[in-house]
Amino acid sequence: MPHGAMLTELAIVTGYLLITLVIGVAAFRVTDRGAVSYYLADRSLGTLVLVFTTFATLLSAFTFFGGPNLTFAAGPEWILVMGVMDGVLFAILWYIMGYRQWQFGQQEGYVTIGELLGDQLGSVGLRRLIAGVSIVWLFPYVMLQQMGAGEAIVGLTGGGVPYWMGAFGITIFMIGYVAVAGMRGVAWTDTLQGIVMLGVVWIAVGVVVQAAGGIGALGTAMAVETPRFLALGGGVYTPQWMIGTAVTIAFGVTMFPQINQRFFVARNVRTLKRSFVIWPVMVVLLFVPAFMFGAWGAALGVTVPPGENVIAVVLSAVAPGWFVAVVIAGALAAMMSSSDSMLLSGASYFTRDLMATSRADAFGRLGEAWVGRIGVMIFALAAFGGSLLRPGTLITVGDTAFGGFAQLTLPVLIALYWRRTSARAVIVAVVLTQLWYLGHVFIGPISVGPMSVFAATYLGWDFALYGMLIGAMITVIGSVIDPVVGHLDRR
Amino acid sequence: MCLNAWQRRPCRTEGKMSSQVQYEEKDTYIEGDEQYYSTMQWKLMQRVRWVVIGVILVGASIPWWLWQDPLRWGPLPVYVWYHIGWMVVVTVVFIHFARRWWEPLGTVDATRGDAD
Repeated sequence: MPHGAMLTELAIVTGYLLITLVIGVAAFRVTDRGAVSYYLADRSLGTLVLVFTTFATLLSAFTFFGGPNLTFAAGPEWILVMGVMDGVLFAILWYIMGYRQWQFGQQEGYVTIGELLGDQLGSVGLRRLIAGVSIVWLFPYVMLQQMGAGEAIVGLTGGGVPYWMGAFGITIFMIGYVAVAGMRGVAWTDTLQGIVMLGVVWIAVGVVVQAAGGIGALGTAMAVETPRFLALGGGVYTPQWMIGTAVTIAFGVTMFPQINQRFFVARNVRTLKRSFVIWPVMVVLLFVPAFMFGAWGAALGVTVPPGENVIAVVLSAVAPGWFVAVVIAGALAAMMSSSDSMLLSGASYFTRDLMATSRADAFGRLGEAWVGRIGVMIFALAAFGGSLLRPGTLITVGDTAFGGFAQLTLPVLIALYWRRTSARAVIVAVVLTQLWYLGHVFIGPISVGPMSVFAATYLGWDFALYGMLIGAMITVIGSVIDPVVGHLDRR
Repeated sequence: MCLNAWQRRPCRTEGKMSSQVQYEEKDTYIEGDEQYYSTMQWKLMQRVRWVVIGVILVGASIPWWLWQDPLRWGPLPVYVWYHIGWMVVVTVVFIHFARRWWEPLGTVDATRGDAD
């Protein structure tokens, strides 16, 4: 690729990131040193910012890089899966779980879900377990963002900037940004990034439509080149996979530290309600164009080399380089907003749920803030190391993380609603379902007589779903038989 | 005084029944209904009803009856158009829920937690 063009594109991307940094610094000046200010923006986020920060946090490399790659290969049915997942299921969980958590947070001042559960169920061990498991599954998801960034920059620069360099550069930026900005900064830049993404995605669609020769021509291209895309289902899109994926990801998402912590930050109930109502709208506005992009790219006969990003390649074929850079910058920004939020929230779990509960002087002379930053740095660099291994596609890595989180959701939900829930039952449920899940992920299917254990699906349904049900059952049954519960008067 | 949290106007409290569910109080009358249910039973019934509605909202997001039927309208397959339309339906249902049912079904009693 011509040197000048590549520099322009890198300049656009860098410029965008610098704007983000400036906003972060501005937020830093408004942020107190206290945890509630740094981690929760003083519980003051209004509707616009809350919607965009949660949405931008939801949208990551998984969405913008993984999604179009999938629709390019397999068809646009993914729009429906993501729509059900983020537009309907997540919204419902926003109410069932989020409103409830928010109320507890208002009453008791909780900063993390571990803190809430540990206090309500009377168990520090549970608090640490939730935090620990969450941090473990955060690792592949942060890694995914770095992988996505690396691939996108390779695609953008035509290989000029190698994968490892792109991934590393983004890692360094993430670390620096989180150290400075805090939740308020992250929320503000999320809002900027959300608005930019919405605008950019629709402009990109306009560009593709024009390049194809109009909407009618696009439709005909689909009918001629990729008729299988017009028929719902087929290939990877079985009913069980579509529903199972939507359920595991929606439930998994609520236990992501960066999403779950946002349940605590709304200014008031009206903000929560408005966000709730807006989810389906946001989903349509963003996912339909972004994912159709991949499908239309296939219809237009664009070829994408394996491991490269569909959006970058398709756009490069139909739009000028600077525009591709703007779109990629927008997608990178979305990925960054997720990564910042992940690292920030993960740091709060680390400092508050793990370190602060282990010893009185856990932070020593450094103080909580610096221990958090160092933790973030080590974590991000380790994830970068993992991203160099590239253990799978963005979708498979993301899916694995989601499923791990999803094992936590039902026990936590039961604990939020049912007074009789026993801490020990939840602990046992979490440990056993994590073992179930890890066993399936890392040990392949083994034939035992006529059956298969550690199989990817049982009767067509994903093993993660069974794990969720097992977790719920253990929580309920364990709480019923636990002799200790009746004496708790805390709630 | 009871405030409608969404629209910020006071509830009608004159006459024998209020048409606005007053979530601060324990006894609740159902609009237009002569029978009086205990709060717990009523809440449970309504929660079950909304769970069913939720399942329908989720399940019908995907037009199963179009399975493997290659219908297209313009640049999008028909099943994508359907999905967009369904999201509009979902939004309408959500608005109604947020106005009328959000607090009644989900507010935690500060003193003793929500006993289920």
